[in-house]
Amino acid sequence: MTDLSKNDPAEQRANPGLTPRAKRFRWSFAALVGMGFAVGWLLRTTSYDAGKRAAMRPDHVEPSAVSDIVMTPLDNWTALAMAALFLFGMPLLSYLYLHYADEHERHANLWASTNALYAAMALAPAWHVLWMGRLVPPLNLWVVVVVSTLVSLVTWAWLKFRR
Amino acid sequence: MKNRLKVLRAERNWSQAELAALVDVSRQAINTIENGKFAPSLPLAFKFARLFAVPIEEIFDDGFVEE
Repeated sequence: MTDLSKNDPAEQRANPGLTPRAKRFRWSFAALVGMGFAVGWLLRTTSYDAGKRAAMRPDHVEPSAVSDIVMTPLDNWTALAMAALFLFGMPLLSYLYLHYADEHERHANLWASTNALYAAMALAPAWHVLWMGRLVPPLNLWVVVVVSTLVSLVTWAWLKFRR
Repeated sequence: MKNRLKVLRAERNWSQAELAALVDVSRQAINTIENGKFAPSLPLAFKFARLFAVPIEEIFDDGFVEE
């Protein structure tokens, strides 16, 4: 348990700043955001290869800025590097982020993750049966990912910043 | 859950950020606890009690009334 005798308010005022846990938390959060930018930069850079752009886009997907970026062939090493970031980098950084988060942040994050999972579990089968009924186009996994991510972000922001 | 955190903090003239640093949580955590939107864990409640040198039940009130 934390020794509060070391936390002198007067000293705290004289030396305002983050606690060691808060510093580690911010670094892990920054690393997660940095990883997102790295992946985005790689995708964006690669997709600007005009000869390859959207070469893998299925017929039923409309051309768009997003489809151009996410459906572009990658060279082997770029693909491997990005897969490694998703498979190892994101879980490791997410673990560190949750490890150094305070209980309020963790509470918001876990509810956000739970709601995102529920959103994906509801949306995907609903979309699939609507497609079986020939009412909608085939299931687009990326729409499910984006919707569940948005649900997660809204839940997190609500729990974190509500007054 | 009702609590006297805001009062105890004001008595010492501490800001939310200062109290947050003293118990090692974020300022948002202090804000939501003070407003009764977030119930702190038992270890965090003990930290508050030790910091303000009062029993936990003098800070937090769960509304229980003995019949």
